[in-house]
Formats: sequence, C-alpha cells, structure tokens
Amino acid sequence: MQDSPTSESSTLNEQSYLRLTNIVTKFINFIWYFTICSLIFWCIFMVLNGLSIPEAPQDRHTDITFLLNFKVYPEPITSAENLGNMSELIKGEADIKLSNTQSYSAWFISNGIMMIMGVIGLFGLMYIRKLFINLNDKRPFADENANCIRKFGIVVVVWNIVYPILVYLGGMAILSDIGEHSEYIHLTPAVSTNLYGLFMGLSIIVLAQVIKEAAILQKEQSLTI
Amino acid sequence: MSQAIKVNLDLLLVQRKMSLTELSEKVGITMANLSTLKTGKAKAIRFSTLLAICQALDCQPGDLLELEEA
Repeated sequence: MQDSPTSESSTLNEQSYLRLTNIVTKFINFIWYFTICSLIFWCIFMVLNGLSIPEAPQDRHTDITFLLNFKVYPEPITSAENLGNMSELIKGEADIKLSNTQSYSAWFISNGIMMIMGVIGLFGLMYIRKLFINLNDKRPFADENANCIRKFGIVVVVWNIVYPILVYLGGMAILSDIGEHSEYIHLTPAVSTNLYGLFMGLSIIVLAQVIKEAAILQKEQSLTI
Repeated sequence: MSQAIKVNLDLLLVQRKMSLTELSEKVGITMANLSTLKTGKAKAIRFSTLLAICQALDCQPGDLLELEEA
C-alpha cells in the first residue's frame, strides 16, 4: 500500500523537526560545558587577580564594566552642593568601563555579580538541556519536561528580580569606594528593572502548566486500549 | 468506599483455552496493549476494542468487565 501525500509530508516534517532538535541539543551541550569551564576559570582568575592588585596601573588587569547612570556637566563638579545649581549636558544609563581599577571592592563586587548571574543562568541552561534531551528522545510531553519548563520559568523570574537588586546594591558599593563624581561626570547606581523579562518568566511558568496537562492527556491516551 | 473496574481477561482466556498471543492475532491488538489491559493498568478501553475482544472470546462486555471493591 502506498503512503498518502499527507503522511509523507508529516514524516518529512518529523524528520526536519528531529534534525533541528538534534542541532539545537548539540549547541546547548556546547554552551553548557563552555559556561561551566568559563565560570570555573573566571572564578580562579577573579580570586588570584583580585588578591594582589598591583600599585602601578600598567601592571593591573582589573578592568571592570558596570551598569551605572551617568550625567555629564559643562563645568567641573567641585562638591555635591554645586551639582544642584548646574544642569547636565548629557545623561543616560550605560555599561561604564572602569579601566585598571585599584579598588578591591569594585573588582570583587562586579565580578561576583557576574558569577552569581552566571550560576543562575547555568541552572536555566541545565533545565533547557534536559528538555532538549527529552525532545531528542521523542518524548515531548513527558512529565519531566513540564517540570523543566516550570523550573526554567522560575529561573527567568529569579534572574529578573535578582539582577536589578544586585546591580543597584553593587553600584552603590562601588561608587562609595571609587567616588560618585570626577571633574565633569557624576555617576549614580542604575535601576535596571526588566518587566518584559519578568513577564516572559511568568508566561513560561503558565506554559509549563499547559504542558503538564498535555502530559496527563498523553499518558491517558497511551493507556487507552 | 472506592470501587474499580476489573478486567476478567485472564479468566475468559482460561475458559476459552486461548492464549494471549492467539487473542492478539485474532483481535489485531499488540501483546503489550493486551497485557496492559490484563494487568489492570489500562485507563480506558475503546468501544471498537471491546467489540473485537467480545467477538473473539464470544462473550458479553459484562463478562469482560466487572465492578469490584478496591
């Protein structure tokens, strides 16, 4: 008996779906191992480099980039009081690079925040990796998948709550150490709330519930004779 | 007190002196599915399956399914 055109196209779709899943799984595996190695090496480098910051700027390898608010003034800032009398030329929020910092707290805080966010991100990657391994094994509606998606959603929510808090507190700590203003520039801690990210995380948690219902239906279907 | 549906497939097979393999061939249902049905792990049974099993075993649906105290 010959296959109908519909079943042929569905087989083709399944094949291309499996090929795509396979490629994405390999890519996620690569990112997973790369992230673990990077975090380990970065942690060692952070501690070794941070424990002995040299006096001479040219000997230091302590550049940091941190999200801060900045205001540029037309005249030199002499004191905090004189700030109120001037209007800024430019203001904004940006990743500001502090080259060869001598501040221990600035180095450890900025890298520590990166490490914490890296570890949280690694958890997200772990759940996504599990999900794709199951998809590769043709088990899209397994109970475990619903749990993986829900936990990934929780990681996204946690990320979007923890990151702004750490950036703000870290910004305050770094600025109290290096000083809030130089001649023309005044820096303040940034508040970087990402409501879209938070909404995405909550949507993923809801989606996980849908997948869980689908898993129950599929289980019942497979046990229907 | 909770009740459950019991599948009397093994009893009917013994009475008809028929093996599960023979039934599987007659009805066109896999051994794995018949085994699921026999061990009571099945969640539901289609009318078409019930009809085929009843025809193969020459029995009524009531002979195959029984309500029992869990």
